[in-house]
Amino acid sequence: MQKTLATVLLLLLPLFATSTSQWVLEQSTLSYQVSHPLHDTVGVSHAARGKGTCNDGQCDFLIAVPVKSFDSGDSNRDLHMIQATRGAQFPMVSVRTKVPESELESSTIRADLEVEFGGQTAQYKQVPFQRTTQGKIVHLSGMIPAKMSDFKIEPPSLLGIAVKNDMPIRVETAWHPI
Amino acid sequence: MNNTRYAVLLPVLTFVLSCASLAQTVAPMGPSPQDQATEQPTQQKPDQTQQQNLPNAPSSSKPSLSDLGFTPEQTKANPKEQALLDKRTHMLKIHQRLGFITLFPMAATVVSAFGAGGRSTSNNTRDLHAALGGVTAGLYFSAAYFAIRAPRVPETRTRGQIRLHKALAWVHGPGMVLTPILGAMAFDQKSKGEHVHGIAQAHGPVAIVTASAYGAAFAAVAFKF
Repeated sequence: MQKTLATVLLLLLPLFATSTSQWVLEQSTLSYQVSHPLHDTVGVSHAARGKGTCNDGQCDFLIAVPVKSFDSGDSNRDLHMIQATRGAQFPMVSVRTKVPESELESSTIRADLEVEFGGQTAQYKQVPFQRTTQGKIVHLSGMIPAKMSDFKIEPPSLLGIAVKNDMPIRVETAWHPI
Repeated sequence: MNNTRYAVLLPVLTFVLSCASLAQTVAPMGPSPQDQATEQPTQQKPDQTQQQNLPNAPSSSKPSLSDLGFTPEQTKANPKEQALLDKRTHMLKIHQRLGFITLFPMAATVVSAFGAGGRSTSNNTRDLHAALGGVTAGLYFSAAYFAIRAPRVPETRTRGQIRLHKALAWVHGPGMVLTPILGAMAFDQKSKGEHVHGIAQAHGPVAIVTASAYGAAFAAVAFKF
């Protein structure tokens, strides 16, 4: 009987052998930058939420942020931004990525990103993120080389001159494991 | 006796382990096995529904938007608001265009003012100045109409340089009403061969303040300071 019990336990063991770890976004600063010949604008949001789940050596991360949470310091510009990016129709920006768990220990993590914004999805390959640790907290920072055309956003214009198509998004995140 | 104990223990253990395993895959937002070990099941039950909306709720599957704890209001599409924003942007684009175009006749009006004085009852530059002033006023009020009629977005607090742009409208708005009236009075007095007198004397100073406020309002949206 003891043998049978041991066998059953051994058979059931793989069910629990899959190492599952999770990460939660603790703090974040996401900022987009748009350039116009007359001035540059930076819109910042600290309202992102994120989660990462690692299973069988693969980690799936999701970060999402409401479009409305970006603040450029000018309410009129922010409302135009929401309109131009169809932010009321598609209120969230989400970034998904899949990273091998082993890579989470590297100082530079290269991630393939899938960004959903304004009802469009764009892929960015091998985006480098710098990783630093502070106790249990892991800081990841990088730049997503986004362009307005990637999301079919018509570049807004001021005085008849359109802003540049480039819209780099700076990502500063702090994650902690749970 | 031992065999009987094992016979009971084995299916119970198998059942418990299988349930735990299923709980991990079927209910990814449920508490982790560690949580189950430390907390009473009765205490966990009400927490489970709350945890589904929390970003730190444990999950073994791919995270989804609903896992992050955003409220439905935050994630729900609002076509009505999008339509309102589209209309607002459309009207403010026209406002911006007309406002920019207004700068040119306004500048020309200011320049032509230098030759609009003099003692003669009739003066071509004065006529040109009056005509340019009329065009400026027409364009100005058209631009103002689109700004005033553009729909407001509820629960939006005006912040940033747009506040200065809007505040300056309280200067150049009345100025653009007064300047043509005072100008018409001055024009009339000049045409009669009179010296500009009375309130019409304020035409020049009011026009300067109005044009300056208008230029500053333009700069407030065009440049960052």
